[in-house]
Amino acid sequence: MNAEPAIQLRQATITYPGSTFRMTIDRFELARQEQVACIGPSGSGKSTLIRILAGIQSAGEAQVSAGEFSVSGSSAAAVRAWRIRRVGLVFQDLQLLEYLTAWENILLPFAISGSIRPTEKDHDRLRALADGMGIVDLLDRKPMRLSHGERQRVAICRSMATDPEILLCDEPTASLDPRNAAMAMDLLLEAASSCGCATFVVTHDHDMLARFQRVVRMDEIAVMGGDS
Amino acid sequence: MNMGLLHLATRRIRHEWLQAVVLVLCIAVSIFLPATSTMLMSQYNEGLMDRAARTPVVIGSRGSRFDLVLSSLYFRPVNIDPVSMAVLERSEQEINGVLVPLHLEHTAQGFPVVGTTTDYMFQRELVPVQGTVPVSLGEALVGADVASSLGLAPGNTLRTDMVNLHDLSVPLSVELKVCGVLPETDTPDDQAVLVDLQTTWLISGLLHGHVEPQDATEDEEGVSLKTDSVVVFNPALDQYNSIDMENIGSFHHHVDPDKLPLSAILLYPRDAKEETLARTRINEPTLQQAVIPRRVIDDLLAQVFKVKRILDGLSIVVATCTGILVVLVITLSIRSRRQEHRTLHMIGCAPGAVTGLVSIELLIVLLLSILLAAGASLVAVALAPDLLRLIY
Repeated sequence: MNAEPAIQLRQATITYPGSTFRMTIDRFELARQEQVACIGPSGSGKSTLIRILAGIQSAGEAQVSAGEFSVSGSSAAAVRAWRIRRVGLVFQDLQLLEYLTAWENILLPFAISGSIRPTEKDHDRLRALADGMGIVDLLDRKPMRLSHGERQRVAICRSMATDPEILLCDEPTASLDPRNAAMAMDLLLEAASSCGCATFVVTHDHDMLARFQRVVRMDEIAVMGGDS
Repeated sequence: MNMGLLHLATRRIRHEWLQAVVLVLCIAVSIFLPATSTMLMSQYNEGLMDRAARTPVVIGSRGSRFDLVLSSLYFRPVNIDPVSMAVLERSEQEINGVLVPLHLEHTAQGFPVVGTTTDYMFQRELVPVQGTVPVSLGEALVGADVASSLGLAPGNTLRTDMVNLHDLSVPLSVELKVCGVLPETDTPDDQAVLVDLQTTWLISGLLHGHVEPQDATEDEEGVSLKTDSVVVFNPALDQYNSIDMENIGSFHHHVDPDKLPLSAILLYPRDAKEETLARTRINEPTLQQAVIPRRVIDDLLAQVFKVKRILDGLSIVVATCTGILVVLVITLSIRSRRQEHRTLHMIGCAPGAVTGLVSIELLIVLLLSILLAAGASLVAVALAPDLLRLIY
């Protein structure tokens, strides 16, 4: 495992206007190529942590950096460009666009970036990934014509579209039955391993934890409290 | 423009095609209505006014000046009382200018038959592209539309439409021989069958031809009595309904020449003073009227523009309703697509790009609407001359 973390977070304080919610994270690191699971009860800030790491949400004076790139110290546009290129995201509800085919959904990060275009190599890599996930014959279908498991695999492929360095997954198998959930998680981690990206997966499923190199509990890394 | 967003926008429109079709149709209608009515009005105005401006004065019987002008300039089938040839002769003596008589009662295979003199062709600058102007009884110079729609060329014939089935003195139909074809002028002349005045009187039954008395035999149908000095014909006598070199000399009338009817007389006075004098002389003491077509058409168009204003008002209502519909659809669309927009934002799409995506979709819909409206307007304007002929 490389010494320099893929992403690190320092001194994050999360509050919401009009709410007593307060969460403080003093330090969190995700090493390169490391696969980490995060567990914790609902409302413990797991999804918030993912949003902070991805630069979607700011957290007070928090310092977020990914290698040389300072997420917390860069402009919103720079963070968006970094996120598209370097971060893969898998959402709990998958969030595929219904009007695009599976293949177009996989290529969505390229479509919205405005600056990066998929190369022939990207196409080949993503087709190979889709083949490995068993959905290569379904790529011209729209999400409504796919099963939930197939949609899940499309979402995983989309998160890998730009060959990211960091993969952030928010309960990616929450709505699958145990058998399919295990299969999806195996595929996800295998894909992450093959592209060498650091993986951070939020999950409630304790049966999955054995697959990860490290498991963190939210109450270990975050301090919850209503007062400052 | 971000081509990726353009791709997303087109995919979304294809996916939600029914919504897009409804929007395109609504917007297209709200563009089409005012655009087309404006273009049509402009074309209508131009077409009517151009011909009116080229005709200084029209003389006809007293009555509706609109009917007189629409009939004599645009050959519209309206009933106007005739004036007699005497009016023409008197006018020729009193007015210094060119007087062109018109007789406009008949049609030939649906096209108006215009009885006139060669002065009409001269004043309207009509020179046949094929053949010659009509100089003999039964000859017809046909407009470009008549020639193309009936497939006529010099040497062909066409028949006049029946005037009155129950009047034995009127021929059922007269065969006209095409002597020439006019070029396309985009005026009512394209739809006209121009003949000599005598020919229209023949169609009216005021002129007729039959077997010469000296050639008639007593046992012939239609001959009641024949002696050395007298031949008495009866109504069963066959009248010629086509004219050829052998029978053309037999055509004659039994009416006082001064009483032969005319529908109108076009007057091209020598100068403005003559025009004023002519209108004074004709309008003052007689049963006739002399009108300036340009003024009549101005008054007519003023009425038409009142209708246009109503149409404009309706267009504003339609546009307002469409605007409300578009805003409603966009608002609902944005609301129902919050999750999609959030996904795009989380992946890395700029907030402006999400707005841009919606804007591009709207722009495509607008573009399609404009194209549809423009296409429909062009078709409507292209068909307008035919439509206007149906109206007037």
